[in-house]
Amino acid sequence: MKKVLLGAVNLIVAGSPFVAHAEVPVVEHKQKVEAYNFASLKSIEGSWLKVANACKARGFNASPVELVDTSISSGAANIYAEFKA
Amino acid sequence: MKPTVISFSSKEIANLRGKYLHLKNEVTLFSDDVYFSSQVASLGLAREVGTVNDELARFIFDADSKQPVTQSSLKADFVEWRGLFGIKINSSETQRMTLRTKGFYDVVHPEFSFNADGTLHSLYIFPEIINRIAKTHDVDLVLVKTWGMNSIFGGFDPSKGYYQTNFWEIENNDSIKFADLVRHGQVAFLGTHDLIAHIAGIDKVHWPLLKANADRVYHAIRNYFIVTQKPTIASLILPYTLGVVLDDLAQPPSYSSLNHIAVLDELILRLAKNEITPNQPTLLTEFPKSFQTIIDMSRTPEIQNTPERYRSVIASLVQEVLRSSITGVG
Repeated sequence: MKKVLLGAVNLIVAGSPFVAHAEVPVVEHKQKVEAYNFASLKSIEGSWLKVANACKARGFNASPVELVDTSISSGAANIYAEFKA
Repeated sequence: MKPTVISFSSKEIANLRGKYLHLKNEVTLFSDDVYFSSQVASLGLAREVGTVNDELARFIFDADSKQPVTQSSLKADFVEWRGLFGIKINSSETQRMTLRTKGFYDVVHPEFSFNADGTLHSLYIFPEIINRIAKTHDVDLVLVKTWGMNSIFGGFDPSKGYYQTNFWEIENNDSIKFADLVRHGQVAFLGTHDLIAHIAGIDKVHWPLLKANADRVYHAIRNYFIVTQKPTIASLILPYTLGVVLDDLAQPPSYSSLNHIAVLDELILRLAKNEITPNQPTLLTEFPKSFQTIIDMSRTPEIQNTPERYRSVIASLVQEVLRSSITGVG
């Protein structure tokens, strides 16, 4: 399994648009990491989607709260007082 | 005079995008161009309201049924009032809404939003006023160029769970950017998460400690990658986990939370061990299951009293990453 995956990555690296010419024997280190990263993201997608949505992305979760708070703070009220119709 | 609902044509949005793409810096203070920033933030909010990406909806309740309004019943219009740009949110289900999270009322203009009985018929939100409120807490609201380009101006389909189905936060090492913002007393304002999770309920009493923790996270990640030009995905998992815990800690309900800080401390220590080589080309085959457990533990009160519990799970995270890593020839 690992050999198959590595082979796939090597193909990606060889066929990568980062590589100017396929026959160039030395792939720049950074380009190689990028190719591996691309393959990694594809590879982990299934297991990533199983993680609760709450913990992802910039939408890092809002901590679970259900607070009833109907008041406006005095600081905010003072600011809104400057923006009255 | 009340706010006026205005149209925001596709041409105007394209112009806004053009201006946004030409921002000189990655981080722009709201106050540098507050009208423009308000337009960007309003657009970000409006694009998410009523969609699966709407993080406000679960805190908006129908005063009569006592149930949350249906997410899809919410709709946003752009409004202008006395030179301020903002949005008005309505629900097609009710004109009697209540808000159920600390600080939510602070970000809604009280004069235009309330019914006589204290319920809300609409939510008028003006980013410029919210920026003024944040400043009273010594916090600056900012635009983060690449975040806006990935979300508001990234051509995403609002009906899809955009944030849940892509990896750009891991890939771009956004944790360090987030930590850098927080340690400088800055909060991004680009969408509903920023507004409800970080801005509503903001309290300057907790920010000195928060900034100190963000500074520690920033330096931990920076040192980890200091000689790495392009980090591998495997090496970005631990920093990403740090970023998620720090994000929680930067939310008012979790301010100064000892359980979060304890887990943060252990993650920082673990990162410093350099167990996952950041610059060796590596194929990561699985996202570690321990990630979710660590986040859950950081949210568990009193977890700091049983450090062996979170230490072992953080160790498991590292082991999982290593086991799922296939190293290529560097």
